[in-house]
Amino acid sequence: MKFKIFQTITVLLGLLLFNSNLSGQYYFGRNKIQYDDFDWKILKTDHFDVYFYPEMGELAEIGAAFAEEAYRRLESQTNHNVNRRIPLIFYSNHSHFQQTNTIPSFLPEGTGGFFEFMKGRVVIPSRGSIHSFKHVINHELVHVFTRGRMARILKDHHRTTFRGMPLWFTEGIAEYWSQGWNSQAEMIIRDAVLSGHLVPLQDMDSIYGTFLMYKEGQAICKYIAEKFGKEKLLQLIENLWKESSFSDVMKLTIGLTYKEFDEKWIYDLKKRYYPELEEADSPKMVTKAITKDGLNTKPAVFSKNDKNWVAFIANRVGYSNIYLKSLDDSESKPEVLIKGERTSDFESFKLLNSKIDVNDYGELTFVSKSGAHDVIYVFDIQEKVILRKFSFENLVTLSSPNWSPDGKQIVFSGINFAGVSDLYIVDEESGELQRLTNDFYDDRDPAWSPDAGAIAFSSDRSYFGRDGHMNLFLYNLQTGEIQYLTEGAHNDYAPSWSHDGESLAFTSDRDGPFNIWIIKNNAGKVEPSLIADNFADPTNNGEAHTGKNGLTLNPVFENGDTNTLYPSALEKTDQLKKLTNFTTGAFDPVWLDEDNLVFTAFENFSFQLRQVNHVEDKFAEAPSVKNDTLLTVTDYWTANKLAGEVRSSTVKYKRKFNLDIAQSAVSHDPIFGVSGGAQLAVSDMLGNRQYYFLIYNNAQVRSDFLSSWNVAVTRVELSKRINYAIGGYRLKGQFYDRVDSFFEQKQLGGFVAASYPFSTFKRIEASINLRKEERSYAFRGKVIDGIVVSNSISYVKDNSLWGITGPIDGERFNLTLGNTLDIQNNDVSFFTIIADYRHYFRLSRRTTYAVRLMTRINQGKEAFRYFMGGSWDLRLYPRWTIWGRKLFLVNQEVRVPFLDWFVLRFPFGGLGLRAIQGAVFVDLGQAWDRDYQFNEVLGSLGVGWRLRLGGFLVLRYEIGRRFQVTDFSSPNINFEPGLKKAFWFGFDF
Amino acid sequence: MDLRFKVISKIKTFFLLLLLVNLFWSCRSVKIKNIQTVSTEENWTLYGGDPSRVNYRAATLAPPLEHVWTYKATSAPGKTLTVANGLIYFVTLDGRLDIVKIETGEKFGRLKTAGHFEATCAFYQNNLIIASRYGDKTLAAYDLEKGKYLWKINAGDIASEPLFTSEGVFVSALYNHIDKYNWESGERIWTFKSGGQHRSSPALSQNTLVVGCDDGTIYALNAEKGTLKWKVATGASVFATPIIQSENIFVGSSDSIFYSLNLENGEIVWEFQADRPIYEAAATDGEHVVFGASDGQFYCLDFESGEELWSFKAESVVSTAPLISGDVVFFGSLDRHYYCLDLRNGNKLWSFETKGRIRTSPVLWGKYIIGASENRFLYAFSPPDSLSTY
Repeated sequence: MKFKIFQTITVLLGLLLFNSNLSGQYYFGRNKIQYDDFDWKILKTDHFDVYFYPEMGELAEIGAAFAEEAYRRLESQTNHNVNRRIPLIFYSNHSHFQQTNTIPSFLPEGTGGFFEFMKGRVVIPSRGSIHSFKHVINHELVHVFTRGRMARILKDHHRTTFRGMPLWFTEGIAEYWSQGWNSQAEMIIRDAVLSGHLVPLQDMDSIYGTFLMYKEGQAICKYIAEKFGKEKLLQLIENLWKESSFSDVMKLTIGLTYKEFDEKWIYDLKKRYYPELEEADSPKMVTKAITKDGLNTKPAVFSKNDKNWVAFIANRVGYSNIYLKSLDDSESKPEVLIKGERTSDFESFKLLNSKIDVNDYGELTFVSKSGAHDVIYVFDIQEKVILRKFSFENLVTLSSPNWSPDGKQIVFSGINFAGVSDLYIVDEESGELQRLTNDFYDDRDPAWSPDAGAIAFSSDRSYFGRDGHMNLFLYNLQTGEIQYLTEGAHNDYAPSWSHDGESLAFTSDRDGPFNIWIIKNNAGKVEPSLIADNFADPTNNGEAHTGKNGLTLNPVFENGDTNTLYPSALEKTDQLKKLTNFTTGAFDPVWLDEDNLVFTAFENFSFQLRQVNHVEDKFAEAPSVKNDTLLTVTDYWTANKLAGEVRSSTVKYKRKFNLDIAQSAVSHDPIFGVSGGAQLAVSDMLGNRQYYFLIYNNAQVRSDFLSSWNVAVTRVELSKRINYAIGGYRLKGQFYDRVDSFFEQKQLGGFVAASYPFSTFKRIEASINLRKEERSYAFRGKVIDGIVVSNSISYVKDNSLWGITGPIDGERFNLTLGNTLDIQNNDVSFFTIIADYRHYFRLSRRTTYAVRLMTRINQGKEAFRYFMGGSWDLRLYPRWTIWGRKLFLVNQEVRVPFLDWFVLRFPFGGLGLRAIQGAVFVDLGQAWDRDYQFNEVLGSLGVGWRLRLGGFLVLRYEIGRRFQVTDFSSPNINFEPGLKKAFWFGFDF
Repeated sequence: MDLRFKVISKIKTFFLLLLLVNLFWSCRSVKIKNIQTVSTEENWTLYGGDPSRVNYRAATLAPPLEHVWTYKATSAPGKTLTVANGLIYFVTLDGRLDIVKIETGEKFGRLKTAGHFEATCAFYQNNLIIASRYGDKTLAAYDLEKGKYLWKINAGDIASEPLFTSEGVFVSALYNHIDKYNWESGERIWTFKSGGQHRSSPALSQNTLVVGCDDGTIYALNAEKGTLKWKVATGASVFATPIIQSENIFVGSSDSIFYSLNLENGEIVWEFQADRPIYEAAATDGEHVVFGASDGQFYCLDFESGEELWSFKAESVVSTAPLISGDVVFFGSLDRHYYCLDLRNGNKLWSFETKGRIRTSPVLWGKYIIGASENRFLYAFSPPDSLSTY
């Protein structure tokens, strides 16, 4: 074991040399890949530097206008302004956003944007919806203003110890001030109240960081504003200086403690929502269950061999997969059809954002993220093979593919490089792409009509889309004209045609919760071809046509009322009715047959597939609802762009470096004395290039001062797919090696390291390190004095899925080959082999069998030793007491949940602790070399517990027995007497 | 232990103690001997300049103005500066009361207010009334000549500016009450329970005390008895302090409407619709009414009709009450600028960029305009040739 003085700095040096996205870093880890080379520009407005790339210029201008508008509103609302230009970094779609280097961590599908504190950057992707883009801009700018206001208040009042606002409040106020209240928030809180899982404010830590916490925070802010006055939200911030905790600030501001607030708030919520059960139903009480566990969405039903099936996307075990389940056998278990999130082909199935579809031939079409772009796949369910895949150069994000009735074409929604969401058709045979819409409106959920003449879809292109409302439209494939199906200040999504084309089911929040609605033609039937003919005959002015396999459709008015930009597709005979009346929510309805619908029900904060039967009877019994008037249409809406007094200019992005971290450190070692130093890191605004500097002095006497400087500089380049780092260093110090005792080492050198990711899960790394090195041991004298070169190359794979204390599924692999050589005097010459394979077998949803197989070999002159023992490798042995130039290690353990959540209650408050994991383990390993012969295998057997505290700290406690295996011809296992115990920290292997 | 080391340690400890004693002593009290009254009329003794809070001085202190001095305090000054007899009294957000010589910008003295809490002050007959935003003893009278507190009482948290007249001390306390105190003894004379919290400060004229409330109401009380004369509801919280001129009350509300009310009965004389909420008090010279809104718009209305005469756009929230000096008007903004406009046409005559956001209303004393910015600086401006006529 080496005890290095300045251990902390040395560890940091290691991190600096192989920093974050140079993923060699973490030995394992997934890869954030820079697929695209963006030509960044900066649009300068009054208050913002808007970073964008030319392809999304129009969207950037719209976003900049939203940002200026939000700034003005928030400036007035918070009585505060921001005394700096705010960097606003836009991406045209989520896939590009996931490439950002502004933060090192991975950005999951659900991340809509973020505000980064270090440089004050706001980073936001578009998702195809202008309104959603506006909402996220507003949300993040609320963070900018509230945080700025808080910082100013605390500074003015000389309060430096306040812990800051709790997350439920910062996110709650950001949601409330950016979007007020909407049907989604209403649905989640209503469900939480009726299902009995609403978390009181005083226990909010138990759902820290979850979507439920965001929505409860939003609900609490709404309640405070409505019950105590909207000015109270700002006063909660302005009173921060007066108290030491936010609960006391709350008491001061609205007169209620957390506990008192909970009593009022929850009581009022119950009074509000409980009566709804009088009129409406819980989905699970009135519909048939198809799934019961996990999170299940986007059903696609089909029949094969007289049996009915449903394919769907679900996250039941941590990864999202596509499943298949029989609808005829309610007890059958879903079968995994396609595994997702483990390979580069199926990185993400877009669980909540993209529907799937199955044609009459049993071919499933779905979308998955695969590398730089999304891909549409066609999958043979019977043969379980991918038949075809489609990706398009300029279409980055794809969603909701839907088959044409003949199963030869697929209509889908795509977002291009400019961030615009439109409808497209791809021919399955030729791969030819046809664009249907071409505007900045958000077009989604296309559904091809059974007569093949039209495509129903959801869009914000109605007048009400200005406020983000989505209505249904019909795209006439013959004329290219678009007609209204619904219109109003509500949201209509996911249209689905009945097999005869007579009914269109969809989900809508037009009267409150999202429920299934149906538009049905009651007038009669015509041949499908006639529909097509009518679409093709724009001269057939004013006459309505009734379709056999379709709704009654009005012909397109070319010269009609100029205010009616999209004519109605409905006739008087079409009936609109509400099919379900749920308290929570129903989504993505699809027709099993004319009398049965399968849909996704939201309930108990989960999504489950359910089936509603007797649709015809229910429809007949449902009261008629007046069709949308379609008379309120007055104009297209357009998004504001920068104009008028707002100054704007665009310049090319040039790298300017700002400080990320600067800190000094002083360490004291009882043997080596006092050392002091500093480190700092700078990077450019986009985080693409980073510099790290380290300097410290470990002189023990004044005469050594000048010769005891340790300096390291590293440059890391992350803007391309291949990441690289170059650096130089001068290190000198005294060290202690448990085997060879004290030694002094001087190194002056430089290095180059590079990492190339094949996919999110696999990469190759290489490095060259050239240095002038001197090493002298206290007892052996000088052993190295020459120019040493170290080379290494590694292959790394990691698709593991992490639980609270470590991986629970997937596998990780690292194979490293290296060579170190003194090219001047041949004092050093050895090679290195490291092979480390870890696999995590899922035994059940919450139980995992984990195994690690590892060997490390250093062979040759002056090869350094490896050390083993302790909680990180060979457990129950003293830390790092087993050493040798070769080692092997086998770990096996079963990871099980032990306690999900517990709270320690004290007279002065409570301490909530996250889940405690348990494990049963068996380890085997040994280290050896020419000095320490391999004559036995060391082992341990025991149980352990792991407790996650905060973001990074996992505490570990292990207890068990050690044993040795000798005489390999007839193995003999000798258990040591007594139980061994160990307390340490660290994630599971 | 080495003798040399011991000696050095003792010397260090001595100087440290000396420093602490000095700090403690210097903050404990301030005594002003032989106070020379320069001009009672010129003194700016409370927020708004006088009990009616009209923020008006007849003399024109016109641009060009020179930056005379800058004083560095320990934290950002509050919204009120008071100036009397050549000394500026102001309280910083970290709870210190600084006294600065107006001629030179030098510190005259410093007093720690109770519990390091943010406070505000008003000046009356060489006494200071100090109101703490938060704490146990939130209202105190300090005798500047004797250098000691006359009394300290718990008046509840006070987020507004106290009003100090010969009749007593009027305070709109944060938690739903308006009070009158005897200024000599601190005894409460009356209390009025209102419907909400108060950030608006009371204004007084003709025995009528007018104050806004977070619940959106404007209350008018009999100042002598503390009884309600009338109340008027606006559409949102009233944070701004009303001003009273003749028979008219002027006040802006968070509902973005600026109101002119009849002092006697509260009837709305006229309304003016702004684009954004109004957080700060107005100013009037009897012909014009000026005020700023939170979108940076600064308006000048006709006193009688409420007709907009002109408007001016600052870069950010207008965050102070204006100050009318003859034919010019001064105000500050979160855009870090103090502005001076021609009251007759709104033309910008002068502006000065400070080093921080401005939340302190400018005041006028003698030939000086005094302002402050949130990064703890106090500024004095004066015409190059002393007092001049615009």
